[in-house]
Amino acid sequence: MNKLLPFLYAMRIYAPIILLVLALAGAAGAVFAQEEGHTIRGKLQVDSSWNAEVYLSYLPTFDDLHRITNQMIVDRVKMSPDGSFAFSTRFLPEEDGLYRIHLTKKGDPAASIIIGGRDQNFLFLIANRNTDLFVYNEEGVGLFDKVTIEGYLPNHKLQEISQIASYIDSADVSTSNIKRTFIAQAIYEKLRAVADSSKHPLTSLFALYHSNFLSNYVNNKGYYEEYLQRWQAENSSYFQAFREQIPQRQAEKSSSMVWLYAILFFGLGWGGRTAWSMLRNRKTKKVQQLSVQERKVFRMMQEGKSNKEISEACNIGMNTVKSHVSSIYAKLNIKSRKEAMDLPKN
Amino acid sequence: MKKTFGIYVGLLTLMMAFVNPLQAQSTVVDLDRKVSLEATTKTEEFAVTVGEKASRLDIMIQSWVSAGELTIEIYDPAGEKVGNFSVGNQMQTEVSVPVDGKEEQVKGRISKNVKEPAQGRWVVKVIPQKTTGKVEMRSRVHFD
Repeated sequence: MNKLLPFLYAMRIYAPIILLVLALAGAAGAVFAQEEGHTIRGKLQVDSSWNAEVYLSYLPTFDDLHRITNQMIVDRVKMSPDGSFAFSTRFLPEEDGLYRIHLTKKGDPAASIIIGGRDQNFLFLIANRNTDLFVYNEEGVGLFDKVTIEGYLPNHKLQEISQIASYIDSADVSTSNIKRTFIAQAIYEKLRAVADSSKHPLTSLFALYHSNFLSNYVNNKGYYEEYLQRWQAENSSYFQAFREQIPQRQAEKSSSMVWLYAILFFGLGWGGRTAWSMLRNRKTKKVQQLSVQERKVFRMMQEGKSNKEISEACNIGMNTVKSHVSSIYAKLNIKSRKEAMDLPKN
Repeated sequence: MKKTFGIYVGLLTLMMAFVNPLQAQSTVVDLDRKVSLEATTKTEEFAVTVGEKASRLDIMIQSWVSAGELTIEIYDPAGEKVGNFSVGNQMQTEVSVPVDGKEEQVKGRISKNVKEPAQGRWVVKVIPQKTTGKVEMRSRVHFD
């Protein structure tokens, strides 16, 4: 027992410190765990013509699929010698967004996009703050020609859509022009069907953007009206940009604006006329409030007679005429003879 | 004599076999263009005329932009857009950066290869918005 006493005494002193250290270690562990968080990882087999750096760009609309600026690049990471790379997604918004990862050819700037051919240098992804993805490619073909995405499910659909859309270019090979047109139309039709059946708003819109919708809209209005109806609650920048591009909607919008202006124009005209008429009626009513002599003077004023002429005609003095005129101005709320002449004649 | 004649016919056959592929060798029409842009905003169109019996059309356009925005669009003879890209550089400077300063540039490249292309006028639209940079176009029409 005596031996235990020093130990217990020591524990009384050191226990709070040990507990504090443990608590701090736990908190630090939690922070590190959060720091590690979710990632977009990958392993790419690339030849020596590519830089060992991978870029992640944020695309605010589907019109930016083939657009690049330095400002769109949100992160860059080095690839390890075996082609591995990882982006943390902790800084991404909570909502799903469209992203693009790309590599650059040696000698090219960071913001470079290559479309078509074996050197096509980008891949689209849907991600958010909690996304975990793993991307890898097959060697011997174009950089992202045969790529597999594991993880967040909407990306599987995205891959499927990209694959379908790529058939349009592969239809260029060994087919006649007419046949190629038919193939393209069939592919667009398929993409519209994918857009229709897709449950995820971004994959759905991704399919539609690959389906040449601007040309198709005129002949297929019903489809797009229903489509917009279906996604009317979607208010992301992707859908806003899409809605602005539907030509007929714009035409309808401008036509409804014409109607609005017409109604406004006629409304203002009618309103103005009614207001003017009410004003005149009110003044007419006020004329009835004038005395018999004032009414007589008022009628002569309306005929354009001067005070002197009124004085002579009514056989009254000039001062009396002036007094009547002042009284008429006050009762009718007018300021000049001209206003008196504009009022309806009784 | 018969042997000599046989050798002669054999040589002639061999010659014909070599001559035919030579006659079928493809003809190529190249067209290269370079456009320099200095705070330019005017849209320009460049046409590639594809004649009858063209077997293949290759179009390659690349651009480097150090300031402003540039859009490149490719249209087939039916007026359908068959390819496009945009590059932009929103530098907050009045001074144009030399296009060889790579870090400050933005680069775009598009390749379009069409077998049995539609006959007519293929159009490349260069749409700059206060753009400083350059555009290179290379088109090649093959005839077999």
